[in-house]
Amino acid sequence: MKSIRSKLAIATCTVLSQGVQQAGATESAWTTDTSYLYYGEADDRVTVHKIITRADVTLGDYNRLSLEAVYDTVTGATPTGAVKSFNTVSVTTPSSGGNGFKTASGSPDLVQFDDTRLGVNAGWSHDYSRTFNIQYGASVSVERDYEAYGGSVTFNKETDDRMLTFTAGIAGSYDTIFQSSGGTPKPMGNVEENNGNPEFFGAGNKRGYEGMLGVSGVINRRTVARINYSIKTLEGYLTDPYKLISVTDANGIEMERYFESRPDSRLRQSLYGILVHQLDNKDVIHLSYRYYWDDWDINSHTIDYRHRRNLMNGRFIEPHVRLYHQTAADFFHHSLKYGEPLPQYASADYRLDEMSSITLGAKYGLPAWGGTLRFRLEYLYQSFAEAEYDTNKALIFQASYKKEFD
Amino acid sequence: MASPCEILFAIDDRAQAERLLHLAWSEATRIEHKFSRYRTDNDIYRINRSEGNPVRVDEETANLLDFAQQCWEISEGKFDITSGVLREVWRFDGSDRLPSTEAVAALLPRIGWEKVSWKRPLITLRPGMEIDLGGIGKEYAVDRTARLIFRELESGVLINYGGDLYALGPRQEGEPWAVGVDDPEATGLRQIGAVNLSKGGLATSGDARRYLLKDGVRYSHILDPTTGWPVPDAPRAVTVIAETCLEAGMLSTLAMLQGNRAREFLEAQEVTFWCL
Repeated sequence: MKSIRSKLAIATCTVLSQGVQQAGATESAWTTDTSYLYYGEADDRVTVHKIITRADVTLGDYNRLSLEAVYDTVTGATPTGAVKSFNTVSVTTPSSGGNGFKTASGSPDLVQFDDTRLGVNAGWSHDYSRTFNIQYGASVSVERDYEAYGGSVTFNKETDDRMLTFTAGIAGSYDTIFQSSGGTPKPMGNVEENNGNPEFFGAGNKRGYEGMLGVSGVINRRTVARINYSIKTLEGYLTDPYKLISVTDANGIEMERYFESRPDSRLRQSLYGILVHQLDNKDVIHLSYRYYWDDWDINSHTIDYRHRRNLMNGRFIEPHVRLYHQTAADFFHHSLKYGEPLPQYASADYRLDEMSSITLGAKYGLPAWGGTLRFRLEYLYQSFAEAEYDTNKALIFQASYKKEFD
Repeated sequence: MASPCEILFAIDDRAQAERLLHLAWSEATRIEHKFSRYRTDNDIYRINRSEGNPVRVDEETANLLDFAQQCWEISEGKFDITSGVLREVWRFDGSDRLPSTEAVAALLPRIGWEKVSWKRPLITLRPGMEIDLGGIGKEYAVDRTARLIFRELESGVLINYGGDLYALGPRQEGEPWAVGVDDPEATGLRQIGAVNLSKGGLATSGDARRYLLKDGVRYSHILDPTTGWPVPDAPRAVTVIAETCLEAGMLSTLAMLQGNRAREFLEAQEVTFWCL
């Protein structure tokens, strides 16, 4: 005879876990989640302070609304891509009042950042039937030198027994990019041309279109899994207006310096799978893998593992390990050779280099003031194959507080 | 719940035990009022008197109807919350008064979940049909109560609603609850087994005193909704241990409905059970 136990267990789990409250209580309508995040790179490089606050409200049986605001400040220095040099190639910024960008005196290989960003995301989820749901999303993000607008629609269809959920989504985005002074430099323009007044164009625009397909399912009473495929095409100005690339002689001494140049389209694809499993001792593990590839020749592997252990009195601890490796973009160079013709596309941005990274950390949660308080501490180590700055180390700390209201 | 309900606390704080007991009592009362077919002020009553009109139900009722539908699918129609109308002709009083074949056959058009239109949150029954969540209500109450108490206590509590149990962690550190399994022929008098329960649900189906006997054939009170007749050779009682009380209760009910294949069914589920 066949076993019906796992099907029954899932049905039981569903009926017992759904929103039923004790006598007299009403279903909690509001959930708020607020967090502060600190990201600090070693050697006085980038520091980020971020505040995220999110509210979700359930309206009736079929609608959920969410609103999220993100405010962050970014300060510090980040590599421009130029080689560390002690010669006298002059300062690189357009001079007009740039508050967001100037090279550090004496080290044109670093650019100083001081930027703030405000982002707002809104979402609406509507149940059209017991097993069919559509989520609509919209986002706006503004900083001194970047504006981004996005929208998305995601369709979720469950099978009648709720063992499988199929997801399909589409999204679009429109970004405007410029230096804080207003324009964008001519790609592969010489920084020093025209007596240090290189040619600038207007703001750059970037359009993105994304499609996603996914399926998630209940494997057995303790295991759920999800697989997603996503494809995204980007068109327009994909160059970073602050990034530079040096031209060096045979001894590695900088002779000239150029603004970088990237192709005006990029096709990105990824496959993602995650397995969530409850162990015999009630610990829950999350194991995910992502394979990413694009037509800039970057492909990457990400393995992420989290292990949640529930402690007494509603507390939990969750160690986390993440391993990442990517190959370099085909137009990435540490620097260009003096005397050779300039390529159409070239970038020395360390983020496009071959890179390996590891993240180690843990999250700790406990009930507090009727909600849940969570702390996360992580250490990030990145190692680059060729980039001028060949490592990056960062500490990440996050404190969050979540509460539900009636 | 029409049966004795008890909650055992193995904790030091009497005030906490009293408060949790009150909480449990409120929850059990709430569920009984909401799902009892003997009341006239709940959704079940409105559904059963709807005369073919759709009735909108709230989320909790909808969840239970979903669950009942899933159990109906899993059991290939043997577990059916519309089968209660068979009570009109079947009275298991130990006598030999069997209903006539015609009387049973006349009820069948009013039985069968496949005749129900269930499009959450609207349910439509054909006139004359009824639903009865009694087959899952008690177990549901046990599990819901356990979840409420679990917010404060993670061990030292045993909930027992008329033989449907849930242990919320051991009695004391390393010391499980000892639960006796009654002999169905001598309920409350003699036990045929004992089980150590630390965490999880336990439920029993079957009542050896409810049967009919005619021409030497014993008819159990377990009715097959597809025929309207008792399941032949059903066990006298089945007790199952599972993760939740609801699961244990459904497994024991489904086993009974298998008749002489009950033991085989239970063995395939790889659960701890007693089948008599």
